[in-house]
Amino acid sequence: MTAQQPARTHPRHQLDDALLTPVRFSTMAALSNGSEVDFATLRNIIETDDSALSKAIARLNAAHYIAVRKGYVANKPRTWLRATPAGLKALRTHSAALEAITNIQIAP
Amino acid sequence: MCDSAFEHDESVDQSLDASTAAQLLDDAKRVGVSVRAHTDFRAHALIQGWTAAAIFVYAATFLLLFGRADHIGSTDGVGHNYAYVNVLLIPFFILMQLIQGARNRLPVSVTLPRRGIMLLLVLPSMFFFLAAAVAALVGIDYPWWVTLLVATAIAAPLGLLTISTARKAGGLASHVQPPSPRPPLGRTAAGMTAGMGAYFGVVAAVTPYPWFPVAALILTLLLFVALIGWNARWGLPSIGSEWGQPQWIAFGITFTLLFALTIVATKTTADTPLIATISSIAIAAPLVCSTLRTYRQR
Repeated sequence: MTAQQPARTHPRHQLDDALLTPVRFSTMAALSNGSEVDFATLRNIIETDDSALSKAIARLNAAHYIAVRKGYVANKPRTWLRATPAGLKALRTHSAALEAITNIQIAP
Repeated sequence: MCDSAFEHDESVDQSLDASTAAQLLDDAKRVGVSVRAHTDFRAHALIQGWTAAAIFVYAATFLLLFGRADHIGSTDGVGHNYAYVNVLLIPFFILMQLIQGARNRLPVSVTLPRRGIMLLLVLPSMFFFLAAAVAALVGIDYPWWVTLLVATAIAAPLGLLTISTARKAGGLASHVQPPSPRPPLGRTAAGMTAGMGAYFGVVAAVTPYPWFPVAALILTLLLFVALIGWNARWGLPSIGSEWGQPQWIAFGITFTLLFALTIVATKTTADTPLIATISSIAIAAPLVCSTLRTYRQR
């Protein structure tokens, strides 16, 4: 016999585990219009360092939220990132949940 | 910002109050605006425009080669038209990879329209192309300007995309990369560029000979080796990313000359060994010469 679970109606339950850290969320936000962005540019835009961004990319890639492409530009290795349709969907859900949290707590 | 923050779900649930959520959403908006500001729409519009022009030239040549079937076979040099498909495909495939390299230089790529819109744009083009190809195969004769109309219809979707991108460049404070003198090509890129010129020259030189279909097949296989290594340091996108204006102009001349030679070879009897040899030098020279600066400065 299992204990009855309470209804999970709070918007925080809609938050996506893979997008919970600010760097991961910003990474997905940067890729949200479908653009492909190179690693160094993305690092500068979201104002983080190589290590933090690498960790975020590894996590998002494992969740199949971003596609990673590697290549060379003028003989130097480069990495490009693009959001997958699953990643864009997750970002929309996560953003809606954040919006809902903002509205709930602003409401008296 | 640190990725290790909010690592545990429980702490996130507790700490994600309204102000944190609002801050994250504001940050997402700021990041979105910043990405748009980093997009060089002008450079993308240029790349798309030249790609559309190349597709137009490719489609027009292809249709001229196979179209008006009643005219084909009336000359000595047209016995192996299908072998010339390789001559057309080789520079076209190479161009597509080089364009990828040019795009790779830009920090942010532009967003393509949604799949549904792309399909709506591409389907009519495909219809026109297939109709022209079937007409050619069945032997229906049509005036030469129809070929140009069909080629225009095929290149039109990319042309529309170019206009849309160019409009964004005009309407936004687009991030334009500052003009700076380009360094000479690296050793690998210079070698590959000169090799590419020599390769196109060989393709042009062998066109008049009866064993051309076999040579074309071998040359196409060589091309596939280059295409397989697209992601390598010596791959074509890497080479394209190093190219400056001289190399692109040289490639444009080579591309056009090779296509012109294909039409001459299939539609006339003028493709003699002597003319093919002279043409091959003219075809190889621009790309080989465009690498000279590299060696002069070493």
